[in-house]
Amino acid sequence: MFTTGSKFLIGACVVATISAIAYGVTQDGVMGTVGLASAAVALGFLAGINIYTRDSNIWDDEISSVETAPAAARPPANSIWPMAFALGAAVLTVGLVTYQAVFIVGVVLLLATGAEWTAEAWAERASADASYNAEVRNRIANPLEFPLAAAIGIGIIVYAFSRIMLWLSKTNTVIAFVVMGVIILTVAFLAAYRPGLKSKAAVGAIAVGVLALVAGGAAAGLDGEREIHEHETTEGLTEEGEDICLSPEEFEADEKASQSVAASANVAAEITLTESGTLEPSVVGPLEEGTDALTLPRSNPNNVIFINDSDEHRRLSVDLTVPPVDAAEDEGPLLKCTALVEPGGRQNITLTIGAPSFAAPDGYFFFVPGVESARLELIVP
Amino acid sequence: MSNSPLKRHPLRSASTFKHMSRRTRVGLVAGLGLLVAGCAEDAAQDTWDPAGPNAQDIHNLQWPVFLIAGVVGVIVLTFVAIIIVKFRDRGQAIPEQTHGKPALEIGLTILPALILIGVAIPTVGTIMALNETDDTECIINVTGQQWWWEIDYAQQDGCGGIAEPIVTSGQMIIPIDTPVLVRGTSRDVIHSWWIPRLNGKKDMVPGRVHAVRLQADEPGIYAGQCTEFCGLSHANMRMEVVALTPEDFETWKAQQLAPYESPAAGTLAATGEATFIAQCSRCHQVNGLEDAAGELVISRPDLQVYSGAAPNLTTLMTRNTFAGASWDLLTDECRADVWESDPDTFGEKYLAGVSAECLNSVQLREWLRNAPAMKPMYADPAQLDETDGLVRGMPNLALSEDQIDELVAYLLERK
Amino acid sequence: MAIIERPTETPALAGAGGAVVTPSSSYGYFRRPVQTTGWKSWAFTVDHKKIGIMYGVVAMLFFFVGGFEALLIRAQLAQADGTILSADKYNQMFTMHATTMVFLFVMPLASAFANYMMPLQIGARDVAFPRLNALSLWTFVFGGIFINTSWILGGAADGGWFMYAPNSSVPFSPTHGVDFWVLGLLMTGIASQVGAVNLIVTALNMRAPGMTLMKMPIFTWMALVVQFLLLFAIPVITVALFLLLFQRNFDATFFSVADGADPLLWQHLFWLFGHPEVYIIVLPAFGIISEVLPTFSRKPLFGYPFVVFSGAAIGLVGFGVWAHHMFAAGLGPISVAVFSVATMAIAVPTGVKIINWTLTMWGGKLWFSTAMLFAIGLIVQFTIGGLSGVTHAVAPSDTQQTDTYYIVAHFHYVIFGGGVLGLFAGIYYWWPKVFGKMLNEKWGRWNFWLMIIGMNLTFGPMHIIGLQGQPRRMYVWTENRAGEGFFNLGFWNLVSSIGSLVLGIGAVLFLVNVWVSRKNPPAPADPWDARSLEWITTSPPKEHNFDRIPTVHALDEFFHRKYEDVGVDGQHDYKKVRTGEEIIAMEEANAESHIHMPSPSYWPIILAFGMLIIAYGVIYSVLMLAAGAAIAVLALFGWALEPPTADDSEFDPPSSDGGQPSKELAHV
Repeated sequence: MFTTGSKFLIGACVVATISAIAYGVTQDGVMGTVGLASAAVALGFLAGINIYTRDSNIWDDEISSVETAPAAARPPANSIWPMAFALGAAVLTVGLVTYQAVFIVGVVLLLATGAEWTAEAWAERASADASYNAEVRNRIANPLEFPLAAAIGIGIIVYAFSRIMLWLSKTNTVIAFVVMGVIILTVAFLAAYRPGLKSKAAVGAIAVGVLALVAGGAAAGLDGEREIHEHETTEGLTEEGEDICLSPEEFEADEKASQSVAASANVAAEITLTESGTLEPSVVGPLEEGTDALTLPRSNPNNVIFINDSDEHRRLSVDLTVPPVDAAEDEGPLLKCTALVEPGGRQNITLTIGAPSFAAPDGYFFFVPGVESARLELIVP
Repeated sequence: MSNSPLKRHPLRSASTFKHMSRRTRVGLVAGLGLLVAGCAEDAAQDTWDPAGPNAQDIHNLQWPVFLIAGVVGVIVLTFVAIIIVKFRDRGQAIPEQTHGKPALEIGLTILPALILIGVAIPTVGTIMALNETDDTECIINVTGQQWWWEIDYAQQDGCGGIAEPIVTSGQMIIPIDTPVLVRGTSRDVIHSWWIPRLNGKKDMVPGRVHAVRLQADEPGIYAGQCTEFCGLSHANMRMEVVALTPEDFETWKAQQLAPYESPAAGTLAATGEATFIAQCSRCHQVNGLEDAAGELVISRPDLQVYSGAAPNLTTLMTRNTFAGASWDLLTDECRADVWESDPDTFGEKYLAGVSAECLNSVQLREWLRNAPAMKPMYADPAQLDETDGLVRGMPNLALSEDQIDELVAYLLERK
Repeated sequence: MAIIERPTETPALAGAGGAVVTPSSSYGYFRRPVQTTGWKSWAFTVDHKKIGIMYGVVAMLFFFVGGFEALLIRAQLAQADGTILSADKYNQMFTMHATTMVFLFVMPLASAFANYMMPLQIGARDVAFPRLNALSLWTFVFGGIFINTSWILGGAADGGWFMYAPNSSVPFSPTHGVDFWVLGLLMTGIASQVGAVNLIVTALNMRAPGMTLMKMPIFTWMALVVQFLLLFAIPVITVALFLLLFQRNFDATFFSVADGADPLLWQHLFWLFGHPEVYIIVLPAFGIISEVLPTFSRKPLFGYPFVVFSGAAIGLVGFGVWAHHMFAAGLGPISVAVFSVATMAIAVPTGVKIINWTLTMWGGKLWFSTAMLFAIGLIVQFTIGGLSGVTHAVAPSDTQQTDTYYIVAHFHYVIFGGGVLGLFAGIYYWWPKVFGKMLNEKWGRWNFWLMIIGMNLTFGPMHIIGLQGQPRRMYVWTENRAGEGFFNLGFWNLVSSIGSLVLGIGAVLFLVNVWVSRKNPPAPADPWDARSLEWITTSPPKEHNFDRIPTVHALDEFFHRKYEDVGVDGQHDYKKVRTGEEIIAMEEANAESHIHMPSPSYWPIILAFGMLIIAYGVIYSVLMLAAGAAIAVLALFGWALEPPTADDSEFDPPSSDGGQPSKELAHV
């Protein structure tokens, strides 16, 4: 019969031929077809030689040593690796002329199958004892196979799940996540509570679930992600060239952007936009009613919370414009602000102010775009 | 924790009641052997020598705890000593192999638990009381930075009314018998504000504002020290609270807000003003200072210093320390005169500020000559990659001796 | 491409009754290192006793390194405005003193005892995972060396052992010192975590027949509690260290305030580890003296179940009091009150231990050996440390005391008084067991008394220094604030520095004692008339620990085999019916056969070495990192490939009976 080596070469030749035909039919240009056809011819030639020499194997005068060799006790078992290896080589070749991704898949396939094949072939020559050989093989291969297979498997599941989540609408993702959690918990509960559950049935159910997940992921991935809004930062200009901090309107600024950890505790000040449209500061300790200025230290990361008690969406802005040290580097007005805050909402803004307020001709002040009366002086000594 | 209550510090409370109770307590505790040996007298940061109601609250809580701990300690150690003597091997028989008496053990578990419950109840009460902020009458902001404290008084009706912000450093001035709320934060790393004779310590954390109460019973200087490790020169980050009578406090405020006066033309100090503008004003603000063109000089330490600020020197000579309160602006003699004066004359002496005769010019000149050599700071340009070229602390400005003379003359007028 | 096709059947072999040709060499793994002498017998060993000894030796080495750092600190502070160390060097010195003492001395020395004694005390032949045990050791050793190489590679860490953010960020600590510290502690963390899993499994699964949990020797109990503490505390510090590693090296902003972070996050993570760490340090010592006190009092431990459960309670509650390190950090009054009360609560089980120890001695027949002296020293010193601890469980009082020398005094009384003295008691107690020779008792007394006097002179005055307002971690202190009178803070600082010298001399006397005792005659098998299982074998124990796994009937098994109560009518009269030697001889006579011990392995030390290279690679070069990773992967692979016990053919020469049952066959 055909030897192992010949099988590989024949397989490679066939794949190359098919690839050459496929390429010739689907692609313009002849270079690819010529290359693949040449490879097919070369592989066919090598296969012929190999069959003729039976892998250049076995000398008549060494039969005794062959017969007493450990590997002689058992014939090699059937093996999928030669074919898989050939497939890898072919994919690699196709990748060379088509897409890089295909090429990489080919390389990986080639390396993986090559390694498996090597391990198997090597183990089969360990002894005449098949179970011992299998143990030898497992010992060398399992430490690599298990972690890699687990990583790949988890990767596929996670990636598929992420595609589904990105495909669903924001609301549905929550539902999907809850459903997923419930399913996992239920399965775990059943497994724990009813250990008698047929393992085949359980494995089957899980396999179906994973398959469905992967299929769903593939479908979702092909369909593309849901529309994701680009959020602007709260510093900068709108497309119309208007400074966000001067505008009372929504620019899809990320409302969660500055609701950071520090926002919750021991802030420098809270500034409330009251229903009557004024800004009321509040700091630790007693500060007399009607204070019309807030003092913050200089060059210090100050966390200030803006509380919107008005009926409209509002943002808190602060004007920190000072004349430049070097007139040539005038960057214009320096404004900072929160994103638009819903009625009753609150948001943190971290202000680090380098220059004292007396450096600014008009001083610094907080204001709320759209509410004329909301103005609060900021003193930085 | 003086072992000699008779040798009282002149600034210390004259209240007989406090004095007597203190003597009694010290006697009790010392008698119990907690204080096996003497303690320092008049240590500036003595935690057992409260000088205000907040520190007193803590003290009233802690001395009974020390007492209880001392008693328990003595009992246990005596018990061990008795055992060692009584049960040493004198050839007696192997003792009974008893594995314990549960009733005794449960009893001996409940006993310390009861004692601790007794301690826990007043503890919780004191914790709550010391965190009260609403009854304070004066708000002062402190900001820690490597390695000095900036102290600023915001505009407020409190503190007897402050019309314009006052910025100073190293020394915090408070009126006596007034509950003061210190609101503190930090510009770089975590520092800790601690004036032991007035209250416990509170960490000042960047991005957070922490409040601590202060109140002094008598005029005087109360020493403190940054107590959270804050890097290279942690040991040189000190501060002092200066308590003045309300009248003296008004005088002090007026001093701080007095308009800027340029040195008389032609004097050494006038040359010093130009040198200051050229060499120092990039970082150090002097309020009201104008350059040759008549423009207000505005320092921008945030462009030079990693942590973003440098001490405001407008009224340097009204303070009597410099460089993070680590060195005195007064000579030893003059310093002793101020620190050890009695409460009645203290305010007057402190408000006199630093005169030419009293100026500790040796150390001030040394500082101007090469600051990082005197106080370890991170100001070596070779190491500044990590801070984008910004210094941490004051660099060596390589001033000439003439420039130093001019600057000293100029600074001497800053009060 | 020589792919060989074999004939399907070989008649000759098939005809020989299907005889299987066994391979003549190992497939898939290297030959195991089987030397029983020389450095290889140590470097590649998986024997828990050899590993325990190496743990101990390396830990003692670091004890003297850390002690030297402490002496430099005290020399700097002996006078006002000291000039022996620069500010920078001083900051490095106190950071490394604490790091060395906590992570490289006390913890590994406790590991040494747990490793050596736990299998012996529970009647096991080794720990559950011998190669993991070797990995723990070498990861710790390389981690310790790694941290200390920072001294010569640009400066050590300078942020304090607590390494508070943001002072540990690159702008504030630009040398690689903190990186060395982080990576080194990650390595020692791996060592602790692996060791914890190993010892927990050992204690739970490998006890001798008849040994229920409540018959387990108390040291093993305390060691078990400590392993659980490690199991849950080390992951927390690992998280914190990774955050810091990423903050410093990969531009993360976990502690950058300007980006919305809160630096208190670090403090919570650190102390959530740091407080259980205190109990990780002291509980092994508590376990040791709970063995020593009964032995030298000739009485069982008073209230064994109380000691066990209070130990477990301390372990549990220890996770709920971390914020008492942060009373001044600005937590808010409610948190402070809760943690203040919780901290007082933990004083109760700690007090229970002291009561039980004193009542163990009560009514006993006390023998003041050096080990006993150290144990009594622990009771006295730890009581002082515990009581000063109560004074700062009171949060308002703590705000006056924290970060002053009062705290330094407190935790040195706890850690040195409660931890190190106990460990020394263990060294003197078990030295004849481990090395088969007694330590000199006269030198031992000098060792003990100088250490006790030294520690009280060093740390006693710190109570006063701290209460009178001198903060910690200052490279200089000033006359201005030291007060007046003869007993001013200058005086006490000087006393403390002189005391540290006395303490240092006392510690060196231990080395002297080891030296003068090196030629002592072999120790008797039962020199202390001891009570527990580890003494039912020769000293030092054989490779396989016990010739016959003992069956346990009582808590103090060895004592009850030696003594019988011959009293009548409720009168107790204990008579020695057998000597220790006789009992051991009895065990030898009934030795079990064909004992298989795990074989040595190259891979643990190579894997640890790979981690060392990875750590340097993180700091210096990606190429180095890759090389280290390659070594680690290779080692992991080699480790996974080899079977736990080497094939008989690997021994050179192979054992005479070819793997057949034999009494001598204890493969190592």
